[in-house]
Amino acid sequence: MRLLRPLLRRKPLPLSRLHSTASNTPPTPTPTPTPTPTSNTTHFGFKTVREDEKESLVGQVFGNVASSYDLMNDVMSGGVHRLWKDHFIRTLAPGPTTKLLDVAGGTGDIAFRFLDYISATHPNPSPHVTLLDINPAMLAVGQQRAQQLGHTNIAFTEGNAERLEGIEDASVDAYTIAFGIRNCTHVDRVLREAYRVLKPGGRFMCLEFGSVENPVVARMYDLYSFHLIPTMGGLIANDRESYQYLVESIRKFPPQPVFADMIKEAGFKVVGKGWEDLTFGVAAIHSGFKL
Amino acid sequence: MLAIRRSATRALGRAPVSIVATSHIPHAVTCRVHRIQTVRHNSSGPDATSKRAAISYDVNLQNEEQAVSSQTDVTATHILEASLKHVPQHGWTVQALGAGASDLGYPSVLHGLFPRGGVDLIDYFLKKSKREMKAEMEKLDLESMKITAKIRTACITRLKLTGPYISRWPEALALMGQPQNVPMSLGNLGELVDDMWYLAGDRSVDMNWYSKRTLLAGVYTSTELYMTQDRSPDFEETWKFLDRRLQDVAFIGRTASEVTNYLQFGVRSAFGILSSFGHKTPFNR
Repeated sequence: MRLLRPLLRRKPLPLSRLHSTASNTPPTPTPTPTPTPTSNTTHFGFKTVREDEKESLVGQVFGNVASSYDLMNDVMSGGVHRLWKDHFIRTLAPGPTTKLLDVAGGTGDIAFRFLDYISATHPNPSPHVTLLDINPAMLAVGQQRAQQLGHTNIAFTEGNAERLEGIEDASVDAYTIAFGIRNCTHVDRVLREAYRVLKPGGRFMCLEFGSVENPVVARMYDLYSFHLIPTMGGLIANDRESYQYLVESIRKFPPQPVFADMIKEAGFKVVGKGWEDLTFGVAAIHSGFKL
Repeated sequence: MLAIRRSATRALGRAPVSIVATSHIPHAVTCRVHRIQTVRHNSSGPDATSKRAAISYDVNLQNEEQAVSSQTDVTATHILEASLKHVPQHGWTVQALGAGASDLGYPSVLHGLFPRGGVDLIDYFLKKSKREMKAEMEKLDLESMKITAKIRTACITRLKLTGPYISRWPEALALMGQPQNVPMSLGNLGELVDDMWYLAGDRSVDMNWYSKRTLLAGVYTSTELYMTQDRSPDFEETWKFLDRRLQDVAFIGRTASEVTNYLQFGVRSAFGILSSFGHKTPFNR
């Protein structure tokens, strides 16, 4: 016990932080008195940074983790992220000619599942995927995997979700963004761009971490994410900071009802409450229709 | 600001329930809420079911969004209607819904408007067919028909509407039998037999109300099941099967009342014999 005491004393900061994250209020879990993000500043994990800095900081994070990204996803989620993504595509249930824009598509998890679903479901499919990511390192991993898996009809594009240059108005059937929108500086701009590029009747679908409402699960989830994930990141990917950012950015992302409101504000119609919780709300699938 | 908006969203989400259930609201207020709801329900008149059917694809029917979402409802209903044409090929699936959306010039992924997929399509079909059955029955000279004839015609009119989809109807029955869909299936069946009895002129308000509907539900579902296996031209065998079931029901009804009479007679006689020996019974006290 005496051996443990210094350890316990070293930890009060994250634990007190846990308390505030476990409550139902929108995320204000920073223990340090950081100013609320004004028009010129935004959050980068629990840090407050200038808006023009965030993009390059996020770029660094994903540049660092690209090579071990898929392995870490499996380790951190115990493989559950695969189930989430499978369910995500089954919910989208694309048709034989669906044209998909997969934003922040990175290593291709969504794009490959999309193509696999279509070739398994429809007899003579002609789907198309534009896979867009801001980070060349992540795209490189995706291209390599596409080659290995023999997927040829994916257009890999480097681009920013906030300014979808080169993608015309009303040109895609479905817009997906999985675990990406959290890292964007201006979520509202991303949503407006999604609305612009979708055809009338098109579907916006977002898979993103959410907030856990069940207090018991929330407590365990917080312990897991603040204590184990950065450590695992340090051990496996040799990059503790990036995974510290990951868990912090999850807490800073708006909870499901607020994000659903943002989707509606961008002009989308939602069905029911607008999202589906996965694994107690650890992740959630948000949907909007351009109607 | 965010906190307020969030709690507001929550409150909206469960508005009617939470208002009534909150204990510290004065009793008078609670009552008024109840009464408003009741009055509104009544004012929609006898045609309430058909109106409800048109908007029941709950595409966010909350307060100020109601006006906006009614447009979405119209689109949703058009898609469902267009999707029915694809049921013989694709079954009661999201593929059928996707094909329906494509017919209207939308991307097929718009089937996401129906989170329950094929089940929403079945629900729509059941409500639509019930309305059509009702409309066709009202064209007939119901006054001159006997009750059994009216029930028989109603059953046949309704079953004929399932005809075009009969090859896919076993799949629909399988979906309807899944536990999460049972409330939908039973709700639709209940409304259907209720409408049939209403059209047949039944205005009973006693226990008969339940027994009549239960018996007819049994007749209807078993005939429908028989119909899925019927290969005779124009479902002739099905209509014969229906006639036999209706006879059974008439027999059950008659038998039930006869049995009651016999029992009553037996009990009274037994008490009569007992009282002749000097015992006190409920009849000679």
